[in-house]
Order: sequence, then C-alpha cells, then structure tokens
Amino acid sequence: MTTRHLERPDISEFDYHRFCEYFYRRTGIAFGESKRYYVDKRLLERMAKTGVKNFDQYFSKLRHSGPHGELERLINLFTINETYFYREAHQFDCLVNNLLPELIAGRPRGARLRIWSLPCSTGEEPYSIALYLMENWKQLEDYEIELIGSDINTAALEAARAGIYETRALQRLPRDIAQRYFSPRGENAFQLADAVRQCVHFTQVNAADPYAMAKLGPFDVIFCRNMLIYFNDRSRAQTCESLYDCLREGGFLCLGHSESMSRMSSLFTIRSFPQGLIYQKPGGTP
Amino acid sequence: MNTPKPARILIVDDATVVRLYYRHLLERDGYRVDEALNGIEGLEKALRISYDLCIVDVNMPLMDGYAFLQALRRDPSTRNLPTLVTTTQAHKQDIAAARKAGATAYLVKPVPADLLANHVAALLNPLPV
Amino acid sequence: MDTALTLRDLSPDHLGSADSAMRWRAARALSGEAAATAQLLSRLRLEGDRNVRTALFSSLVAIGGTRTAALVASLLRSDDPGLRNGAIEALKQFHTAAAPAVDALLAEEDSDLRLLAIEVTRAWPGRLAVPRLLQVIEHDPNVNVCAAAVDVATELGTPELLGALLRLRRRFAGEPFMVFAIDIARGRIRAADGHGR
Repeated sequence: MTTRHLERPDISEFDYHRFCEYFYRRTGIAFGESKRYYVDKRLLERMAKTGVKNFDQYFSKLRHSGPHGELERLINLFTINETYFYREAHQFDCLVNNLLPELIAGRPRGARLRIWSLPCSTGEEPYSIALYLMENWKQLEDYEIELIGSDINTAALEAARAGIYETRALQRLPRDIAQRYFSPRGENAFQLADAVRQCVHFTQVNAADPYAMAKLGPFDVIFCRNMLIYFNDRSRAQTCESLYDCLREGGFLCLGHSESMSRMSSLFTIRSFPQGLIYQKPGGTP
Repeated sequence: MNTPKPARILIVDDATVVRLYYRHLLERDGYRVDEALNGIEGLEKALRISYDLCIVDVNMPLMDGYAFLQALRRDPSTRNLPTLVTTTQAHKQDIAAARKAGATAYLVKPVPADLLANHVAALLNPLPV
Repeated sequence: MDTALTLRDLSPDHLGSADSAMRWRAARALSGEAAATAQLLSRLRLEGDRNVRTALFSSLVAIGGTRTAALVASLLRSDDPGLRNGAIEALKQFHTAAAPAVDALLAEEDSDLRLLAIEVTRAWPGRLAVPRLLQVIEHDPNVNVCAAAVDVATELGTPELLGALLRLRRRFAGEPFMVFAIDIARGRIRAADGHGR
C-alpha cells in the first residue's frame, strides 16, 4: 500500500455526495467525509469489476439493479457479512437482561418461549443464542425455550445440523466456552457438542412467502439480522408484514446493527435499551 | 468555567435539499447538526442522543411529523425535547394539530433563514415565564 | 394459533371489527382481492390504527392497476398527514400504473396536491419522472412545489433539466433556499453530464 495520495479521477466530490445520498436514502447507512477513501476504494473496485466506463454508468447500474444485483454486491462490500459465533453479542445480552424478563412477566413457570433466527445460514446465530442462554440466563430451567433456525439455503441448513465449524467461526467466543462446548475434529475444525445441537431445530423457509412464514409462528423473539437490507422496497415491506404476523403481541424483533426500520416499515414500536435499539410488536401486557 | 458545548440540533425532513440547507445555516451559526429522513429515523436518533432541539417536517414517509411528535411525548427521555414543526400548509387545523401533538413552535415553508435563526435561538434559550 | 388458515377465512366484514388485530388480519387477507377495493378504501378513510392502515394500503398495492392507483390518490386530499403520506408511499409502489393519477394531481389547483404528486415520481425511472419534473420546474408558480421537484431532480435529474433549473433560479432569485437547492441540483446533474460525454 503506497503512501502517496492516490489519484481518483473517476469519483468527483459531487459523485461522492450523490452516491452517499442515494446509499443513505436506500439503506440508512451514512458515510461522511472521513470515509472518502474507504468508500471510493470499494466503488472503484466494483466499477472495475463491472467494466463500466465512468461513475455515472456505475451509478445508473446501481440504481436499476434488481434482486441479487449490483446494489447487493455493494452492500456486501460495505457490511461485514461473515458469520461467526457471538456476532453482535450485545443483542444476546439484551435478550437475557431486558427482553426475556419482559416476556416472562405475567407468564407461569414452564411457559414456552419461541425464538427464531432467520436467516440462520450455517447455524452460528441460533447456536450462539443457545450458548448464551445456557451461560447467562439464570432462569433457563424455569421456562421451555424453543429455538428455530431457518434459511432458504438447504445446503447451509445441512451444515448447520452437522455443527462443524472452522477456527475462524469461534474467534469471538470466550475461551472457556469454546473449550467446553466444542471438540476438535481435524486440523481446523471443531464439532459443537450434541447437547447444544439438540437445542436448535432447523427448517427451510422462503422469507418472501407469507403463508410459509406464518406457519412457523408465533414467536416471542425474532433475530432477523442482515437479511432485509438486501431486499427491494416492496419485498422489504412485505417481509416486515410477515415478521409482524409471526410475532406475538409484545414480541421483539432484532435487526443487524447497520439496519433500521426507518427504511422498511412503521409497524413496530422502537424500544431503546442500553445495548441498542430493538423493535417490538405493539400489544401484549404493557 | 468551561465554554458550553454548542447545542445539538436534529433535522427531520425527507427532502435532501432542505436538510442540506438547514445544516448550512445552523452550522454557520455554530450548532452541531444531525439528520434523519423520516420520523422513524428521527425517533431512533432522539432515543440514543440527547438533542437540544428538533426541527421536523410534517410530510414524511412511514412516520409523519405528528406521529413523530406523539412518539417523542410518550417516551420520558424525549418528552421535553423542544420541537419546531415545518409544513407547507398554513391552515388553522394544521396549527391546532401541531399544538395538540406537542410542538413547541410552528413555521411555514420555505422557512426564511433569519426566522429560523430567531426561532432556534429562542427555543434553545427560553425566557423565564 | 393457525394463522395460515385464518388469512384465508376472513371476509371484508371483519374490516370493521372492534378488535384491531382482527382488522389487521382481515386487511391482510384481502391482499390482491380486486373485488374488495372499495371496502379497503372506505375502511382507510375511517381507520385510526396506523398498522391496520399499513395493511390496507399494502393490500391495495397488491391489487394494482391504474384504477386502484386513482382511488388511492383520492386520499391525498385528507386532512390526516398519516393518510396522505401512506397514500404517497403506496402510490410509489404502483410504479408506472400511478402515472395517470400523478398527472391528474399535477393539474390540480391545490399546491399541496401537486407537491405530494411530485414526491411519487421519486420512485420512477428517470425517463418517466423527468418530463413531470420539467413541467413543474418550468411552469409551477408555487415555491414549495418547485422545491419538491428540485429535490427529486438532485436524485434522478438529467441534463435536459439544467436550462430549466437555471430559469427557475432566476424566477426565485429572492428566495435563498431555492437558490441553494437549485445550485445543488445543477451541480449533481452537471457532474453526471460531464462524465457522460
């Protein structure tokens, strides 16, 4: 990496602002002047890959991209999407310290609480929830927790059921937890303990199908992180309606840290907790 | 004695050029400015950051200005945030609606720069009643 | 709770239920049901629950078509900003089917209707939006309607608007906000044009 000032003849000041305003309007992700190098680098990368002549062509391509098109690829570049255990664990902390206490208030011991991870990909998220609850929720024995992991990708679901992960996926786990719940399998692989694997039920679902979604509900908590941001306006609105249908009144919805309902739907109430913003379906016990 | 930090103002308006214009005026006057493009984003920001004043437009997608004001009033952490409502309509029912929703003041768009400055200064430094 | 069955069993009568959760389900069940258009619309005029309103709009969008768009556009005359803005967002989702309704609104005497109509064009491709923006920028007497067009132009304006924007700038030379806004719009469009050559 050279320290001399890199020439960027293709992205002018105006282009940068035009892109930022579009991206902000579309995703809620805001870049300031300080992110100039970071943003330009990725834009130029995509411009080169898509073979466009100039920024204007690229911008047009972006604005007209359909599902799984250029906008999705660009969002991928700007958001960290690799999945690993205890990713955004502050939300699990919120679950244990704020969401569950509210949900169990007024419910008898032994009541069933249903938690959904969608998309669950290769299982890191629902298994993380299981681990976190086992390690941190003192009332785990008093209630019946049902954990469901869903994805459209059946290969990912198969991998999730198998519960074998590379070292990279465990890097955010506290050492003692990794040691207690994983056993080595070969050079770079770890097997998740059966006791944890049995906690999660995996099932395929297409988030764009409201009837399929409704069949799996109702849930008390839904983790829907880094899925909606990729949808177009109409699909996002529809999926939010499905998620709303799948939640019990008073149930909670957690989005990814760079996502916001402000670009999606007004159906949910906004709750501010020390760990961040969580969305809630209105109704239920106040 | 420390110099007090400049007041922090939240602009809630779905028009980019309006947000940029107010930012231009307010930053010139030394205020710190944040933006939101509808009531939901405004509420999310107001719940996490302590603002001294909010300038909010009525017509916005997903959560309009009045719904935003009602949401502010419902939450103890934002209940007392002074709000300046802007709208293109100047009918009596809009003024009444703004007052009912808890707005502190009301301006008709396009807002002249000096009027904005005066209202902002007055709302940030309310005279004792 | 068998939500999937419930969705299919509800009738328009349930739109008037005292229970908002029931009204929500009824509105959702009628998604795409063209025969229920009139009921969905009349319920919208009465509905106080914001979420039920969202479901009603959603179901009308699923029905689609220029006739439905025109009916949704009629809600723009409401005194309730939530209903007006919900109608705008719904109209955006009608895409080009909303064009006749938008054009009718742009011919209205009430400047607020024209302003709201321009907002809908933000969802259109440039080739459809630009002629409407041009019409407003060239001829509309109201500063706020023009400002709305300028804002949409910053996003999807093309070089054919440059001359008109300059004339608009002269027309509202005494309005600093308009001068500021137009300069931004022209800057954005010029930057794009420079690369296009």
